Amino acid sequence: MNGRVVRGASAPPIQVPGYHPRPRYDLARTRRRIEEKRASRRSFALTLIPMVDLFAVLVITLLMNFTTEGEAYFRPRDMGLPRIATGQALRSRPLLSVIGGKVSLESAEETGIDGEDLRTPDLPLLRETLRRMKASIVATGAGAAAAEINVQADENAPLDDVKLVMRVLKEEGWTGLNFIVAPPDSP
Amino acid sequence: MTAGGKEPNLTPFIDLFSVLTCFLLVAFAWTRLDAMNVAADDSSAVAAAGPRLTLHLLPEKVIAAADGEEREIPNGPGGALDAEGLGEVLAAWREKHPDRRDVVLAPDGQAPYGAMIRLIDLLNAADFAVGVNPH
Repeated sequence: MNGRVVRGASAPPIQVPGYHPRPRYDLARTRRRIEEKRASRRSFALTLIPMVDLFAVLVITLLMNFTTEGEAYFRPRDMGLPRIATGQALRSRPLLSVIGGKVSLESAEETGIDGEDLRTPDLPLLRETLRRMKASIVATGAGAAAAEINVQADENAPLDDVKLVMRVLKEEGWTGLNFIVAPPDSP
Repeated sequence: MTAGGKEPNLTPFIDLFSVLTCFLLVAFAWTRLDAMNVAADDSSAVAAAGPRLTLHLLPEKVIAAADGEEREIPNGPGGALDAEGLGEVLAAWREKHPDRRDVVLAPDGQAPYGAMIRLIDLLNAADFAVGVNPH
């Protein structure tokens, strides 16, 4: 778009200015950089494929460790469970814990107890809660499950405590005991 | 990245994966635990009257009582149960009474809980049904 020369009859030739006067400084480079920046902004896109890959790996990992058997139990940090080789899958049952001379009971169906002293004569609170839980489970129609309970205790706990609890369970009609154990390869 | 372009629309995938991830995180088994089923009733484990094998678990040994005889199985080094000695007792019992697969376990109150569980584990591995006498 250079200027073109218009010649008149007597007048000196008129120099028509071009599209833009020649810049004194090199603005072309600056303009190009501005244009490039603007173009890069326009074409910005979040690459979602790595995110989908990550989610897929996460979902596969979680699926491999998925459980429907209700293992989300409270387990004290300092409780060391015995490790054995012939364990079976843990089923969702009321959980009875023997910890430090106290007994706790929790269940999805009924309000449990938190730490009744095992030296309490005849353990009335535990007996009452066990009866209530049994009635609640029987009412749901789960026949065999009404006699089963999960029991956890520290591997160094004296058997006197566990035997006392077992006697109470037997007298209240809970004869199927599932002792919670750790598999041999557990960390 | 527009719908109908060359690339698929990933937004529904991300939505789905987000929901799945949240759901699976809630149901994740952070610690794998097993269970060992035991009858808390010595009479229910022993199917019928007749000869019975009773194991008395003491802190330092196991006493096997059967047919009016008793045999002591002292614990090994470190207080561990003597699996070999127990295996011999069980093999002898099985030879004498091949149809009896039940054992009554009478643990002493001073023995640790872990020792009882390990003893039941050995008996289960040898294909015996265990009934624990809590008295």
